Amino acid sequence: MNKQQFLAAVRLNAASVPPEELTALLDYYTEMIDEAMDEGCSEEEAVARLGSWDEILEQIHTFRAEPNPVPIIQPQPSFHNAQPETNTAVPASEPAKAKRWKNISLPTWAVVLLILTSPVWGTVVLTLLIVLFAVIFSLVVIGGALVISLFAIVVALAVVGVVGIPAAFVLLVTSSIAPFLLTLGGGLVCAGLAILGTLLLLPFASFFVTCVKALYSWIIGLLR
Amino acid sequence: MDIQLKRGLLDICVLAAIKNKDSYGYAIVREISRFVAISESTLYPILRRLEAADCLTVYSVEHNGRLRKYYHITDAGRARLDAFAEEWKEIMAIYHFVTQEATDDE
Repeated sequence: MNKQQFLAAVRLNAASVPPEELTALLDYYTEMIDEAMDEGCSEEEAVARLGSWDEILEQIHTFRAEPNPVPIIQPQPSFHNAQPETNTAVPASEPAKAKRWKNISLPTWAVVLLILTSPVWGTVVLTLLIVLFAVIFSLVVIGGALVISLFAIVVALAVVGVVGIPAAFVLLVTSSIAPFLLTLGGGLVCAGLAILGTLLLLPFASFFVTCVKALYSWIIGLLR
Repeated sequence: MDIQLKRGLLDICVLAAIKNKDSYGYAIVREISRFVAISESTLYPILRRLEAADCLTVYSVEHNGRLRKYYHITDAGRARLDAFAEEWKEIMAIYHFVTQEATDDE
C-alpha cells in the first residue's frame, strides 16, 4: 500500500471520527511516513512501519465521537494512582455534541402519522436500501471477478514463459534455429509480461481487499 | 509483558524521551523501541492522552519543506516522571521480596 492509498483507507474507516480529530490523525500519519522516507524507506515500507492494519483500525476507533471512548479512559496501572487527575479523557465534551436519535422528540400527531403512513414510506425506504445493497454487492463482485481474471491472465503468461523457454532449447536440438528463436522470444516476452503483471496487480489486489474490508466494517458499524 | 503495565510504561517512556530535549514522533518511536516494542500508530493515542493531561505541549517546526510536530514536557509531565521513580522503589522492594522468598524458605 502506498501513502495515498493508506490515507484514503484511513479516511474510509474514520466516518465516525470528528473532522478535527481526523485531520490531526492524517497529519500524524503523513508526518510519520515522510520521516521514514527521509531515512531511506520506500513508500510501502514507510506505511508498513506504522503498524498492522488491525492496530491502525483500533487507533482510529479510539477517536470516535461516542459516549464511551473506552481505550482512553481505561484505568491506569497502580503506580499512576498518585495523579488520578492526569487520566481525564481527551474528548470529554464530544459525547454532548454528538447528536443522537434518542434526543429527537416528535409531537404525538407526527408519530401517529408516521405509523399510519408506514406502509407507503416503509416500502420505499426498504426498496432503496435493497437497491443500495445490491449495487454495493455487485460492485464488490465485479471488482473480485476483475482481480481473479487478471490473475488468471498472469498465471497463463507465466506458464507459457516457464514452458516456452526450455521448449525452445528442445527445438534447437530437434529442429533449426528459426523455431528456436521464435519460441525463446515468445517465452521471454510472456515471462516478462507475467512478472510485470504481478507487480502491477499485487498493489491493486491488496487495495481491493482493503476496500472490501473497510466496506465490511462500515456495514457492520451501520448495523450496530 | 502485561498489557496494562505496558500501557502505563509507554506513557512514562514517552515522557522520558522528551525529558532532556524536545523531540518529534519518529525520533520518539526510535528512542523507545530500544526498550519496548512500539509502532508509530500506537504512539499517537499516547501523545494525545499526555497532551490532554497537560503532561506535554505541541508545536510545529518547518523541516524539509513540511511541518514537523515537536513535543515539549511540562512541569506536570516531570512530576509524573518523579512520581513514577518514587513508586518504582516500592515495586523494586516487592520484587526483592518475591525473588528472595525461595532461598529464605530453607
